[in-house]
Amino acid sequence: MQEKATKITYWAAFALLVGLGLLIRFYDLNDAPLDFNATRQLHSALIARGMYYQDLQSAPQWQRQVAVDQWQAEGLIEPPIMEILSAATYRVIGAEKLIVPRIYSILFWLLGGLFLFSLVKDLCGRWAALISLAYFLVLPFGAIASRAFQPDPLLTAMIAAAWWAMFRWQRKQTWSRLVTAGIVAGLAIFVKTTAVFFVGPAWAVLILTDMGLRKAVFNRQVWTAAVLTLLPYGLFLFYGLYISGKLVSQFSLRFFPSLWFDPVWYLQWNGQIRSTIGLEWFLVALVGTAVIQNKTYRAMFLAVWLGYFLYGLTLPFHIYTHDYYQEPLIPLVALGLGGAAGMVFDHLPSPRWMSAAVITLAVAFGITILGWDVRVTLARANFSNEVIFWQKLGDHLGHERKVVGLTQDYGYRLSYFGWVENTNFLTSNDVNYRELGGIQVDEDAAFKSAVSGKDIFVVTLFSELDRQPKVKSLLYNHYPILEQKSDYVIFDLNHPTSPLN
Amino acid sequence: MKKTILNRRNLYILAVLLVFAGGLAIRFYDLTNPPLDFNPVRQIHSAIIARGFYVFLPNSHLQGLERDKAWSFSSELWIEPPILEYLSAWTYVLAGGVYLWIARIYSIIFWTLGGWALFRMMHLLSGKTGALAALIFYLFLPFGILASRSFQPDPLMVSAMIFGLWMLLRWRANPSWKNAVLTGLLCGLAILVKQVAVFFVAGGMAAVFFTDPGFKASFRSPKIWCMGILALLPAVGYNIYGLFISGFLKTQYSLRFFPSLFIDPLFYYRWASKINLTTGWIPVLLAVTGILFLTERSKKWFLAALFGSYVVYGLGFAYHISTHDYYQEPLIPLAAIGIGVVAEAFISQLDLSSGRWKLAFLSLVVTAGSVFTLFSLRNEMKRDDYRDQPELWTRIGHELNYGIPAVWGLFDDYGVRLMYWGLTMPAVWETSGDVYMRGLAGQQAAQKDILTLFAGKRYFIVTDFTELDNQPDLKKVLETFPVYEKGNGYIIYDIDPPGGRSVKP
Repeated sequence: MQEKATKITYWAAFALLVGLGLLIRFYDLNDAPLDFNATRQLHSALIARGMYYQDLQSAPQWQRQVAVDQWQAEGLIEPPIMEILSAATYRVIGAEKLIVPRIYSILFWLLGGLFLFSLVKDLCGRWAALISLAYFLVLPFGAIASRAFQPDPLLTAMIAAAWWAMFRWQRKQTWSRLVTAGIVAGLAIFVKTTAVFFVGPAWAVLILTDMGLRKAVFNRQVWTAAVLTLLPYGLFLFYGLYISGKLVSQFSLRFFPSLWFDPVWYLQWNGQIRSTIGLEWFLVALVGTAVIQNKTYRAMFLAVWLGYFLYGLTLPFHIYTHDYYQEPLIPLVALGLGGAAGMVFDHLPSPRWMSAAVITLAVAFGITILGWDVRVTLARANFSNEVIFWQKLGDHLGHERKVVGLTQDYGYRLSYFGWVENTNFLTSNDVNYRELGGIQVDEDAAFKSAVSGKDIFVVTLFSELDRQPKVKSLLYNHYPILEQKSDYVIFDLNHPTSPLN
Repeated sequence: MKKTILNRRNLYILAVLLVFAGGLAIRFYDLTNPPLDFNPVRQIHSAIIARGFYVFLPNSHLQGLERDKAWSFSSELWIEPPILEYLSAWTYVLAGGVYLWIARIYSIIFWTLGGWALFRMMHLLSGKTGALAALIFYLFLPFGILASRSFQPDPLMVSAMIFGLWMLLRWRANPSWKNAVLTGLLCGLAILVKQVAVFFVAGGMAAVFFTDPGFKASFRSPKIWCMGILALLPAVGYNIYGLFISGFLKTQYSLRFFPSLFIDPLFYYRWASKINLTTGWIPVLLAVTGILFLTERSKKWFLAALFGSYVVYGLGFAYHISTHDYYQEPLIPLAAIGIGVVAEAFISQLDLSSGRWKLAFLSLVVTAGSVFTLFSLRNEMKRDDYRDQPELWTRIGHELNYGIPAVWGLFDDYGVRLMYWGLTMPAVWETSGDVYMRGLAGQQAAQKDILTLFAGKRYFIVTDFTELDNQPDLKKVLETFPVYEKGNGYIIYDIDPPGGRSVKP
């Protein structure tokens, strides 16, 4: 009787968490995706729109052309899975709606949470699994990040799924479980290569602690797992490098070992962890992983932590500047918290009812506040005026003029909402980034090259123009102003007042 | 077994010393930066009072205008007994001048001593690991570091409160007259320094008295009566003096109690957000679960009563708890105690027999977390440099002829910088927050025409631009006047220009 009541309470708590996770993510669903890494989201939005418009006979010819051109102009970074899926759904519903990829991301994230829940339930106990799930679904950064039109929510879900599948295989080493684990791990890396840091160490340590190096080398299942894990991305890499050639430029400006010797970089990385994951959670999870009772799984997940540190060292610029590079850490921290919670729950003092009451109250308080935080963040960010501004500016500029500019999000807002193909002039951050990679930027030459063959130069990022006094002077001294308003200025590049030296 | 210098006991002592050293080092960093990093209004309020005391002390070097103004401004309303202010003023005499970092040093010392008391108390309540964990939290919490460098009574209040609670637990272990008197005196000091300590002292005492000797026995115990009387006497004396003899406390108890907020869900959200921004609610929740891991009933009730007292205190100061971060300072030792208890329980469950790598790993994680926290804060402290402020406001005060004719201001600090360094007492324009607070208390602000209010004033200083945006009517009127001076973070309008307004309305 009591067991039945506990079971009902347990699954009610589970349902409540899933419900809350969905509720906070579905809030403000229709707002433009400018709340989180707008550049990256609009990159995907442009690709998906291009895919959709290429066959959309009902659209005006100019619009189809712009959409396809914008799509083709986007570089290939990862396989456009989310984009293909979104474009297909646009076709089904007969309209391009940005809520479509948002919903997909939310559902993928939720799926990842379910895999994580199942894994932690078997690894650390059923109540610990609820703690992991609560963190995974209600962490404000995760909630916002998991609404984004990026591959990362799918990547995070696939990483969690891969751990789950590996764990199942280790417990019962059948071929079907092995193939499942290999395929899921392979798909995780296929979605975004960085998954290799989270999947690779888990595989390696799981196999080595389970069967040892010598046995592993001669084990057919191990070789099959390795092939399945590496094959999908291997094929994509081959296609990108040797067939389409679109991946050739993607591997430059990623690796900056000079940063390893800069103590400030470590503080900045720490700052990124603090603002996304929460340093307290991070530390507790690290300790929580170390106290997982089963030696094999403890080693497996400590190896994943090591993988995370290697990931940061390999992508040192991105790890401290791009918050979404912390997303794969979320399931790992959630799992570590499960480890810590499992240990605490195993040793709760009596009376149990009092312990249960205090912990339930504390967790309920925590998730309510976190959930409300997400709601407040989303309610505060309203981008409807932004969309109108860029649409109007796009119409004003015309959709066929050749535009260069210094505008928000590398010109993506103008591209997407304004339907204007444009190239973005280098920002001061771009210059710093290149210099960090050992590339010196000649501002004069860069400016000449950027304006060559263009009709207009549009500025909406005035602070950025102020940071580049040379470019500002070149614009104001050599080109007439077509129009100036409080939020933009347009220079006529076709009728310079004096020639550039 | 071979004895080495790196045995467990020595390593423990080394860790404790390193925590104290780290806590002191980060607090002494950037010592001479003007105290504008943390609640500048409250800190400069104390600085003004201290300078006013200093005027009348022997060998005071203040002369002329500075002396006159320092004295006249020090009539700043006293809220708490100006203990730190008086101590600082006497130290100015010894140091040969008004140095604001003197008060900062006192606060740091008080807070650190509080750490020692907390450490000792945790040995009674929990164990060695718990004591170390509590100390790390108490000394390394970023908010606590900033708060414990400030010219406010709060660091001394928190410290005295911890000493009082430690003595209370010592009395519980050894109910001697000496321990009873020390408990009473230290709790009395805490309440005298800032009366809000009464919540925590009363909570802790009630839990200890009623669980151990019991309710009836407590009433019959002369030692308990002695503790109670000693704890309350200094503050009662101060209140009688302030309310009925000198009268300066009469206005201090208004605008404090806002029961209407109890039924507003947003109030609880703001309160929780304040906790999150200061101690972090994760450590606080973890600390609350510490109640579960205390095995003795009276200890369980002691910690539960302290957290209960915090809730009552928050409800008692509903407006302040959700708007003033320094009202969270007493929560720091409470959270530290709870975290210490949890840490002790956690370590005791670790299977250390299978090798000490888990302990080493845990130490590594805590060390890394502490180092990163301290260095991040150090960078923030370095970034927030206010060293140009004294010179700037001294010059502005001089140029505005020390407020003759008078000056209006919409300040982000109620004009305390202009008062302290510029020796100018401005008329402070109400912010929307002030109006809101009055509204909560049922007081209506007088509605007057803006230009009528400008009459007789020469300049209008703005340092709070967000607030100016919140008052579009004022902004519109000000924009019709010429700008006298504009700089980083301030703008001064000439609201009585010889040539009239620059833009005709």
